Amino acid sequence: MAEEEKVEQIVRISLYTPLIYVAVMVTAFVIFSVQYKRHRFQKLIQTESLFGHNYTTDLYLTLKDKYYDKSLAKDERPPEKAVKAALLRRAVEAIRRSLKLKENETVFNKLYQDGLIGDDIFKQYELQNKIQQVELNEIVAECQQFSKEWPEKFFPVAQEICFNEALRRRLNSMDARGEKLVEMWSYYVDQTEAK
Amino acid sequence: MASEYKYDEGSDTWPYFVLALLVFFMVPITARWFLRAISSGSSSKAVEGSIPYNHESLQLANSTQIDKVRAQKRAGRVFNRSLVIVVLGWALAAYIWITYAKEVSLTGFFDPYTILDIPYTASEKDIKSRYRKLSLVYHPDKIGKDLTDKVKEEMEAAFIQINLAYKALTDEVTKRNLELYGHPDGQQEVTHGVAIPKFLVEGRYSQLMILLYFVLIGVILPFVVGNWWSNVKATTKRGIHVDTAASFVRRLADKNPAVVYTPYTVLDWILESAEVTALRGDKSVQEIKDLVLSYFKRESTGSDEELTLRVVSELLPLLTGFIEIATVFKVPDVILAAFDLQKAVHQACTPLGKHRELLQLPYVDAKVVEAQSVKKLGKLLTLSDEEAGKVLGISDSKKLKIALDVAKNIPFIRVLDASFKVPGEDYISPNASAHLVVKFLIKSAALKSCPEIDDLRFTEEETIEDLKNPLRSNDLPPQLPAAYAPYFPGLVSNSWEGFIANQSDNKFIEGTESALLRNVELTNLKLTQKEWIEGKEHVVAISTFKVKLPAPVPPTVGDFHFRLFLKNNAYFGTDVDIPVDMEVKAVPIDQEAVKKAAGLDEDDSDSDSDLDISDPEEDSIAGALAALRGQGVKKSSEADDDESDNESVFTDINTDTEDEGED
Amino acid sequence: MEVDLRYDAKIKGLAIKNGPEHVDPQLQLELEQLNTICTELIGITDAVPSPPTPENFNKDMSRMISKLYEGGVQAFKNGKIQDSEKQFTIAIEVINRRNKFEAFQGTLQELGILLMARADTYLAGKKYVKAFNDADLLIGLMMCTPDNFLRRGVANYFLENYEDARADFQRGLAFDPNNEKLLAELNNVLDKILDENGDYL
Repeated sequence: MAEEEKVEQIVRISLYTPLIYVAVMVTAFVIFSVQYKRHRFQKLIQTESLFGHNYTTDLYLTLKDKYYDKSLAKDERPPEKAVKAALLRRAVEAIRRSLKLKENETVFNKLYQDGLIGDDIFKQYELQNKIQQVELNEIVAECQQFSKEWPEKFFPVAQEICFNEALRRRLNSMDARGEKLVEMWSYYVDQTEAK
Repeated sequence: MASEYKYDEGSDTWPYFVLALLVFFMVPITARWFLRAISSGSSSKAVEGSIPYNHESLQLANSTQIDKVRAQKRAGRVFNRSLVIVVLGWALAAYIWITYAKEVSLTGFFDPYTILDIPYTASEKDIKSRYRKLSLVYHPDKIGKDLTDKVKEEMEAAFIQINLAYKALTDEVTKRNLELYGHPDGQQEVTHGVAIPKFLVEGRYSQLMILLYFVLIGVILPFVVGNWWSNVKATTKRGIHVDTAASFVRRLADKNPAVVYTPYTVLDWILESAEVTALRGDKSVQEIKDLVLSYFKRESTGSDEELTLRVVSELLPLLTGFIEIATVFKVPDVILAAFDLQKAVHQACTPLGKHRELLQLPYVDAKVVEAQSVKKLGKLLTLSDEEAGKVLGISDSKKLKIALDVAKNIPFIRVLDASFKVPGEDYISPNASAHLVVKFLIKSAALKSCPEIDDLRFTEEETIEDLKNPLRSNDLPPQLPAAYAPYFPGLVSNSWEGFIANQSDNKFIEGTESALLRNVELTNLKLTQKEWIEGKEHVVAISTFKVKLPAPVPPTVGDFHFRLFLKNNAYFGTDVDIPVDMEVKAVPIDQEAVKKAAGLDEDDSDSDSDLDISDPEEDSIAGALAALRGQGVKKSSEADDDESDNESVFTDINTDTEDEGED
Repeated sequence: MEVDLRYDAKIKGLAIKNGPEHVDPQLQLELEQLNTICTELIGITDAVPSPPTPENFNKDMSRMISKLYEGGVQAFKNGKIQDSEKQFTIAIEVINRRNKFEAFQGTLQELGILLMARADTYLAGKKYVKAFNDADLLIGLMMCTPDNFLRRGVANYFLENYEDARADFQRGLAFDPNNEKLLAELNNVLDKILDENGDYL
C-alpha cells in the first residue's frame, strides 16, 4: 500500500524552482537591508548634532555669496576683509570643536564600552569626527582661493584667535557668574557687601 | 524501507501538539514575569541605627498620595499584562491536559516475560509449562462460545502474543529478532506520526497551512524579534533611556566652562529626558519644573500632587544615571551639583543655600530658619529645647522632639586617618597598585569633640584574603539601613560614594569608578558624650573604608596630592572632603647587593657574572612581580617612553580649549 | 538656516538684515565675535593677519597697560582702594581690546598679573564676590599658585563658605606645603568651622 501512495505522489518539479526560490529570497533580503540602512542614515543625520548648529559656516557662505555677487549694489557688498574675517571665524570654530572632540575621545570610548550610552550617540561622535575633517579640508580650499600662501599662515593665526576668544568669553561672563554665585550662596549683597 | 505518515485521524494526538506549543511559549513568559515581580525594592524592616520615621508616622499632609504612588509602583511590577497572559496560558494548558490527554500506550515494546507472566528467572521447564497452561485458556478453540465478538478478538490477540512470547524465549530466530529489533516479528515498519489531522496537511487546507507558516516565520517572527531587540536597545545598561543618556552626554561634551553649574542646571537637564517627557503628558516642561520646585518648598500642589510625586520619584534613577555618565567626564563641579540635587530630592528641601542641614529636618519653617544665623545641626543640638524650637520655627513640643530626634540620628563621619596602602607592603613603590584606606568614626551631630584613639587600634592584620582582594573589608560591617526620607515616595538606600581627584587640576583620576560605602556600624550614634570622649575599645567603633585607586601609582618617586570626596546620597552636611597625600618611596637598596656589586666591580668590569642571577628585565612578568615586591629590576631601554606615558595619566594636560597656554 | 547680513560701515561690522526679531543667543554671540574680528582686520594694514610674534605684540597697548598697573598699585599703597580698582579694571579692559590674533601667551600673562592685583584690591575693599570671581578665573586658567588659592580661600572665608575656603587652603598647601600664610588661614577657617558646628577641639 505504501508503494502505491508513493507512486501517486511523484510531483513534477522543474529544475528552476530552487533557483527561483533562492533568487527571490536574496532579492528580498538585499532590498530590505538597503532600505533599512537608508532609514538609519536618515535618522542619524537628522538627530541633533553634538555641538549644535554651526553658525559660522552659514555666516561665511552668506558673506561670500554677497561678496562675489556682482549684481548687488555697492553698499550691499561686504568688503573683502569681512569675508576673510568670516573664514577665520569658521576656522576658529572648527579648531575649537576638534579640540573638544579630542579631549573627549577617551570619555566616549569608556562610556560606550561600559554600556552607559547607546549606539546612536556613539556613532554620532564618530560621524562628528569625520565631519570636522571634511570641514577643515573645505576651509583650506576656501583659503587657497584668496591667496596661495595664505593657508600656511592661516592656521596658526586661527589657533591664537581661538584661545584669545575663549579668554574673552570667560572675562565677559564674570558678571553673569557673579549673579549665579550670589543666588547659590543666598548671599544678599545689600545685606552684607558694599556696592 | 517504507516510510509513511500516519495522521491524527482518531483526533487523539493533536492536543499534544497544541500543548507542546503552549508550554514552549509559556515557560519563558512566566519566567520573565516572575523575575520582574520578585525584584522589588529594599525591605523596610527596622535595622540598628535607622531613623524610624516615615510619611505615616510624621503624619504628612500628602501621606495618602505618597502611599498611592508607592503602591502603584509596586503593583505595576506584579499585576500587569504579563500576569494576564501567564494565567490564561496555563489555564488553557491545564484544560487541554485534563480533557484530552489519554493514556499513552507503549506499543512496540515487547517483553515476553510479562506477557507470559513468569519471573525473569524462570527455567525452560517453567516456561513450557506456563505456555501450556495459558494456551488452554486463550486458544481460540478453547474459549467460551458465548463471549462477545470484541472479547473474542481480544483473546485472539492475546493468544498471538503468548505464542510470540513463547517463541521469543525458545526459538533461535525469534530470539535474535527480539535482540536486534526489539520485536519478535523482525523489522517493523517505521512509522512517523504527525499529530495533526490529515486534512490540514494534505487536503485542501494545505495551502492555508503553508501560508500560515510563511506568515509566522517570515513576518511575525522578524517583527517580534525586532520589537524585542529595539526595546532592549532602547535602554542603556543602567536602565535609562538611550535618548536620555545621549542628551546628558551632549550637554556634558560641549560644556561651557564660563557658566556656573548649580543643582538647578542639572534639574533642567534632567527634566528634558525621555522618561520625564513620558510622564508629563500635556504639561509643559516649565510647569513640571514648578511642581518640583513646590516639592522642594514642601508646598502642596493640590490636584497635581500625585503627578508631582511620580515625577520626583523618577528623578532619582535619572540622577544616578547622570552622575555615572558625568563621572567619566572627570569634572567635579557638575557632579557635586548633582549630588546636592539628589539630597534635595530625598529630603524635599532646597538644594542651594547655607541652611540646608536644618531645612532637611521635618516640621521646620523655612522662612524662620533662613532668617537666623544657626546653620548646622551640631550647633542646633547644643541649644536648649526652647531655643532650638525658635531656630527651627517649631512651636509644638512633640514635633520639636521628633525633629531633634532625627537630627541626633543622622550619621556624620569624623575621619581619623586616610592614607594609601599597597597590599603586602609597608610603603608605596612606583607602579604599584594601591588603595586608599580611610579610618573614621561614625558620630551623631550631638557628640562633640573627638576621642583620643591610639594609633595601634587602627592597624589591622593583613590576611592572605586581604592581599588578594583588599576591598574585602568593605563588605564586613552590616549594611546601612534605608535612608530617612519621609517626603520621598519610596524607600531609598543610604550610602556614601567615594571619588578621588588630583589636587593639581581638580579632576577625578582617570578611570574613576564608583566606590560605595554601604556597610557601616552605626552603634556610635547611641553613645553618650561621656562614652564618646572616653573612647574605650569596645564602646566606640572604628570603621574602615577602602577605595581602590583606578590607575597604578606614578612611576616616579615623590609626593603626590589628592583629594577624597565622600558624598552622601540623602543627608546634607554628612559629606567628607579631605586632602590625602601619597608619598612614593624608592625601592630600597639592598646593602649586601650593593657591596657585592662594588666588590665584583673591582675584580672585573662586567658586573653580570654568569653565577649571579641578574635582576629580571623590567618588562617581563618576573620584572613586574619584582617591582611589586620592591626588589631590584633592570630598567629596559624604553624607560623614558614608559615614564612619559604614565605621567600623562596623572598630569592630564588640560586640553580645555579656553586656556591652552602651552606652558 | 538662512541669515541675511549686511555690512554696516559705521560699526565696521555686520548686522542682520530684516531677520526674525528673536535671535538665537548662540547666533548673537557668533555675530559679535565675527564683528570683533572684522573690525580688527580692517584696523590692520596687512591683507591678512600674520602669525603672532613678540614683535607684533602691540607695544602701545603694553605701555598703556603698564602705566595703568603702576597707577593702580600706587593708589592701593596710598589707601585709595576705589581708585586702584578703577585703574585695574580699565587695564583689563585694554587687555580685552587687544587684537585677537596677537600672541595668546603674552595676553595671558598680562591678564594674570592684573587679575591678581585686582583681586587683592577687591579683598581690601570688601567686595568679596568680585574678588572670588577674579581668583576663580585665575585658578580656572590654570595659574595654580599658592597665592591664588590664598586669595580665593580668603574670599570664600568672608563669604562664609567655610568648607570651600578650607578646601582652597588645603589645595594651596598641596602646591607649597610650608606656606605660612596658608597654614595660618587654614587654622583660622578650621576654628570657624568648629565654631559653626558648636564643636570644639
